[in-house]
Amino acid sequence: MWRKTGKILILLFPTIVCASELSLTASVDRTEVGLGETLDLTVSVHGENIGDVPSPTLPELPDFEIIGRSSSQETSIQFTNGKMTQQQGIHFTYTLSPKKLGKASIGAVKLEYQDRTYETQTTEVNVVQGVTKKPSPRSSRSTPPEAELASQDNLMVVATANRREVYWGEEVVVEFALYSRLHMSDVNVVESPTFNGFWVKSVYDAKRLDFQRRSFNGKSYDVSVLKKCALLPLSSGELEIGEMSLSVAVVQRSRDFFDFFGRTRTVSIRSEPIVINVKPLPTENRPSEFTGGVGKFTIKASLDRVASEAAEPVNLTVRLEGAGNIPFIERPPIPAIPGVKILDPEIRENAELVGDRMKGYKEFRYPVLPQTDGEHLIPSIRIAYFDLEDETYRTLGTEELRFTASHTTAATEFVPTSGLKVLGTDIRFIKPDLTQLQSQRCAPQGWLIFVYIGSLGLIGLSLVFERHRARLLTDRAYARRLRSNRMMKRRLKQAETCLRENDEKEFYSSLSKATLGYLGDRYDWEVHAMTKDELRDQLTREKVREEVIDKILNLLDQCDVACFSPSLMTVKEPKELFSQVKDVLSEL
Amino acid sequence: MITNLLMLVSICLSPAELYTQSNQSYGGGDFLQAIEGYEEVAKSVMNADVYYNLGNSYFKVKKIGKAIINYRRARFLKPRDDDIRHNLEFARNYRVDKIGSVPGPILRMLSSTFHYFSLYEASILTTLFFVLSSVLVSLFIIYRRTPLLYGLMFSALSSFFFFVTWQVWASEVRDRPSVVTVAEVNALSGPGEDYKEILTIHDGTEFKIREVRGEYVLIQIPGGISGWIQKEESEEVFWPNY
Repeated sequence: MWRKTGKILILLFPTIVCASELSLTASVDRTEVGLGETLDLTVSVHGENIGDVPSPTLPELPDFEIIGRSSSQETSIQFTNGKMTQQQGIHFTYTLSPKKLGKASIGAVKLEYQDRTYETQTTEVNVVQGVTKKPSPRSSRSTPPEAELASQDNLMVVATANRREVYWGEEVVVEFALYSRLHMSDVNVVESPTFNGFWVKSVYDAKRLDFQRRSFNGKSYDVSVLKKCALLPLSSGELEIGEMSLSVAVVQRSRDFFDFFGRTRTVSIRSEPIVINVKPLPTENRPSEFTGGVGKFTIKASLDRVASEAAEPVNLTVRLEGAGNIPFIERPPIPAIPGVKILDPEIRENAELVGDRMKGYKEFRYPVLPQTDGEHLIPSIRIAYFDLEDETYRTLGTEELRFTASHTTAATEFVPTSGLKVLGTDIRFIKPDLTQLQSQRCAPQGWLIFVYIGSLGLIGLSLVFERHRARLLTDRAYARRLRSNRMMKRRLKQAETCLRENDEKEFYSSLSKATLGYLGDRYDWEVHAMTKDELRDQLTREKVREEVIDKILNLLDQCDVACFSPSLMTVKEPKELFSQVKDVLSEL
Repeated sequence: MITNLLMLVSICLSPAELYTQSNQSYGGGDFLQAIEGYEEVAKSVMNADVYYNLGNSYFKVKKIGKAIINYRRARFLKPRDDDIRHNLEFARNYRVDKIGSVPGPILRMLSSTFHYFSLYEASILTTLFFVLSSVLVSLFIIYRRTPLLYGLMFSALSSFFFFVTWQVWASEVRDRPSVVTVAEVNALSGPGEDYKEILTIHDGTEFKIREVRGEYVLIQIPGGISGWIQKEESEEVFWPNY
């Protein structure tokens, strides 16, 4: 296309006579470019009268694809010393699209002109992932100027799938993109694609259109990705990815200069459906440990603690990591372990699309309840998956794990994390046999009441005793009266001894003392200082009977007579007298 | 026929032998046979183990009310036995009616403290510490020594504690606790068939007897709700002459 314009330009300036020096430079509009973006390489030729200069030869560009060319020309006329010199410049612009990431070099551009070869310097460009910046205004100038709506090539929605033939569970990445060479004012999604028979994980959903320059079928388009999904086939056979339809308002350039805004026209476009052929997984040689994984995985098991006290649960974590259909993987079967109860696991997973594969992990966290003391062994947990690279099944195994449990019986109740309360599984077992079955007492015994009465009586007694003792200390009459009997008996005994020894005088004396002493102790009198008459008066006052008083006084007289003048002693046996005294005193 | 024969045989056995035989029946899974045996033993002997095993047998045949009655009798005789307490709680969890709220921790602690000793133990210990207190009082009256006062304080408090335990049990017995032994009972508003049904209670529900009138008893379930039911639909926990 540029060649044509070039010729026209050359015709406009036909007067190129002599060969002269020219300069050749090559420049890029940016040195860093995103994969999928474009870059403009401009080769400029400057010199006098160079209208017939051929187009430069581009070097081999293995890292780039040339997706567009254009050229432009400028002329400046100078008058020096009355001579006109024409300075001309021709710019050849190449739009390049990088093919791969990393450093890419654009080799020397060569130009042969009038038997001389000119060469430019090599230019280094860094190709990076993603978008660097908006293309410079200069490159946007190269968008097709005129809308050709009739051509479907200028506006389309393209669905692409990275794989057309997959195994069950193998991911397919589908991308829906809008390709446009037109100026659009509005884009609406009329119909979203359907993915029947697939498990869908949405990766990207466009909220606003973000255009990038991309070449397609040899043409340069402004491309915006509308939707990107990772699909996992759920069944085998031919599955269809539905179509997406859009309505786009396209701005038409008006030929009328004053119609500034132009007119729009609405165009409907739709994508082609894609058929994915899903192969079933081979049934032969399928291991029993297969849990639905397709891809490539590694397995690891760990325990969060190595010792459990009081039936505390230990968490066993089985972690599968790798690329593949992570959401499809079911929990691995755990063999029954004696002395240990394993509850249902808590499952965590994370899967993201990296490149065109789904990568991530899946974790199964099993609470393990030890039920007996001692060391418990968790055997190797085996899981099988279908390896897509080798197209065979592979079995993975974890390491054996050990932990010790102690005091498991101390905890009768266990409260798992879910909040369920387990009250033991059953009632406790019956009591053992007995050789002798005895009735147990349950009612309080009736005789206890006597114990209480006795106790209270004891307190009463102690109170009485205490009172008596206090009186002995403070009340002389009480004390004398209490000991009167004792004293009398002692004195009578003394008299008896005297009688046995035939000491008659001493006998009568002690008999008299016993009688008087008893009276004194009994009534708290000073008897020795009393006359017979006083004694009589006092005894009368104490309401002693008259005859008893007479008897006492008579006896005392007899004792006195026997003591002091035994010659006057009337015939009376001492023994008789003794018994008489005893009788009288007991009568008091 | 076979059961009758076994019954005849069992009557001739001593309580201990019959108890052992019933344990074997229980172990063999013949709970009905075990119940018959234990009931026979319980007629002549009042023993916590018998009541406990009887409760277990009733529980196994899903007679929750009967099981609760027997566990409570066993607990009355042997309040510190952990198995009895556990199974009583376990059986109570199986009841249809969930009446009343779970008491707070302080109340529960108090209850377990005053149910630590049985009624009989409490009565003996109350008396023992009462006698000790009296002796100490007497000695103090006579000798007036301060250490005697400390001893007196300890023994009087002990006596008081056991007295409270005794009274807690006694009041429990006085309340005439009973348990529903049939699957479902409709309590009436008065002692007679013609009265309105006001309450439905199920097997295992515990209540107090407030009044007896002919064939009907006025019951009060925890929470204060009361109604009249027929005597034979429930059974008292504590024996008429305990």
